[in-house]
Amino acid sequence: MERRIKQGGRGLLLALCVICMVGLLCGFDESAQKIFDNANLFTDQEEERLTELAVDMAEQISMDVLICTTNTTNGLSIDDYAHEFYQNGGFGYDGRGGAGVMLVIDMGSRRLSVYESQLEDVHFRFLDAELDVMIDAVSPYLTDQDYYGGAVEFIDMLPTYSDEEQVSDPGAYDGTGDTQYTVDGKPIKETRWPLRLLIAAVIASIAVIIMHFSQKSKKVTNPHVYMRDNRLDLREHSDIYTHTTTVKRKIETDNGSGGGHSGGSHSGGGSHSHSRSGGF
Amino acid sequence: MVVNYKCPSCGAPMTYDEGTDTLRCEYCGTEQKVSEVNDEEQATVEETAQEEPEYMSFHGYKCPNCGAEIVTDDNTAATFCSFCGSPTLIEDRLSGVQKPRRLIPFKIGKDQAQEQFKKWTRKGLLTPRVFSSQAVVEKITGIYVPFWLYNYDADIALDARATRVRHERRGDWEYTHTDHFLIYRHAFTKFDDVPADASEKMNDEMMDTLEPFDYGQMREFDMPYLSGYYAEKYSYDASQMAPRVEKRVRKYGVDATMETIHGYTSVTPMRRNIQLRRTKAEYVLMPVWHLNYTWKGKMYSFMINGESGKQVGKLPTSGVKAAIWWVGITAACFLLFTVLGV
Repeated sequence: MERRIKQGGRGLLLALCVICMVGLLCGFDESAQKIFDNANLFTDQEEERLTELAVDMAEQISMDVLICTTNTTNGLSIDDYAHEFYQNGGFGYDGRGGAGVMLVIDMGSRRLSVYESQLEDVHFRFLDAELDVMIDAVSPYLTDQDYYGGAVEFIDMLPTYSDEEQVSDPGAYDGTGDTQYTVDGKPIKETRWPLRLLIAAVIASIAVIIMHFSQKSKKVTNPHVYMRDNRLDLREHSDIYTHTTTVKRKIETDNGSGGGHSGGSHSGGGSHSHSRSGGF
Repeated sequence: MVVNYKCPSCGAPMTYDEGTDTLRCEYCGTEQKVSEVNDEEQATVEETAQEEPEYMSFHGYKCPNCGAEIVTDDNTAATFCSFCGSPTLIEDRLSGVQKPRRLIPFKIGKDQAQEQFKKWTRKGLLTPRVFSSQAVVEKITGIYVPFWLYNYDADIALDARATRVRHERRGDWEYTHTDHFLIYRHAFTKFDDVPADASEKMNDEMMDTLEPFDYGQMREFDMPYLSGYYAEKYSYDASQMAPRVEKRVRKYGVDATMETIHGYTSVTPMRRNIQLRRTKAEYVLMPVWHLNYTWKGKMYSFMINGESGKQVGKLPTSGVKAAIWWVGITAACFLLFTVLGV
């Protein structure tokens, strides 16, 4: 069994390397593998059909669309696993690590994650809250062991939430839809310089204030300087226990028992990503 | 009565040489131990220098060296003749009840004090350049500042509430237990030589910051130690200064007693009862290098402990320098963020 897992791992690694090379050479490749069914949840026909759907949807929303199933996340959280898988695989509609959305199903922890990646200077297309909605829509299928149904539902939902206008801050969703959008649908270069300038100015102000206050000397004397022989004669002392108060708190465990979402975000290597996960 | 000390070789005025316990003649280089100075032969006393009528709280004396008039305020005990520059001591302000018991002689010389001041101003990143110029540094003067040293017996009783927090995990639940305690401490201690400056001209906070003084360097008071410095007599007597020092001793007593409470997550002092008994109040002089400088209409003070070399003061902030630093740091941070892509 262990040998099979190792072989599977090597195969997966090899596949990732190949995909990576292809991705590097020609950007989006519709013939590249889109469905990575390592947990064997789909039949061959289902896998073929999902690949067609994923490629069509990728063309429609200009994002790579992937589905990955696994029996183990190798000790990583499902969000970190999704990030590693996507970035190592060199996926992306507009180049390695570029635009893409991926559904990850981990049968080991019975959790699922929806992951989005974009090039570093391109805004996200999905809000965290929208990723949560997708998870909530897909997880009932998985609970009923209809993995193919869940995967189809995921792909079908993408145009609904994939805004042509890009989202600058995926976590800024406040339920009102009143979030920050740019005007055109094409990937745009970010304009973070005012924020950088503001933060730099704040740091400079703090530094100058510290310099100003360090112009003054500080007192350093303490009681021991003037105590005779540095001696305190303790004549009476008592420490009386009176009572105990107790507060209890439920420890949140990441066991995929459903209810609630968690998420993560990554940046670096020329891209940035965010994901949300939940149980089924 | 006004006094200055003459060199036994050439007759020129002698001054105290820092850290050596000797008087030194600046003209012929003769040195003489303070304990060997013969007051009867060497001290030039202007007996006829009767105190002239008081005018606006200033007093006039005749310089025993050149006969010029020396004008001082009420509290000056050692000064210089503004005409011939001779160090001059006003003996009647250093005798009787106004005679200090002991003093710590200067150990830091004027050159060393000036160099220390320059170093300090250079360390201040926002200090205007003019502040470390030679013209400013020249103004530094050595002054013996009057202090009262107090001894107190302190009897401290205090109650406090304390807590100790423990964490425990049972299954999916974490329990935080907080044990509550009532603490009582009754302690006794003695505080020796707690200082309080008795000069109304000196800033109390700065004088407190100059501490500690090394009492091991303390000497019995002798007038020749003052030759070549300014000196003040006390403006406030021991009982007038006591409330300030008692406030400090109370705090020290409570702090020291609180240190005996160990092993708790938090300790909150409640009732405290401190009985103080003053056992000594001694009048002493402490050596201080002092510089006052007015910049843009505001006066800045700088002091150096003449025994330990500890420096105290607040340097002025140059708006131009602050602006240059601000722009520089902003630009550097902005560039760094841009390069790192943060």
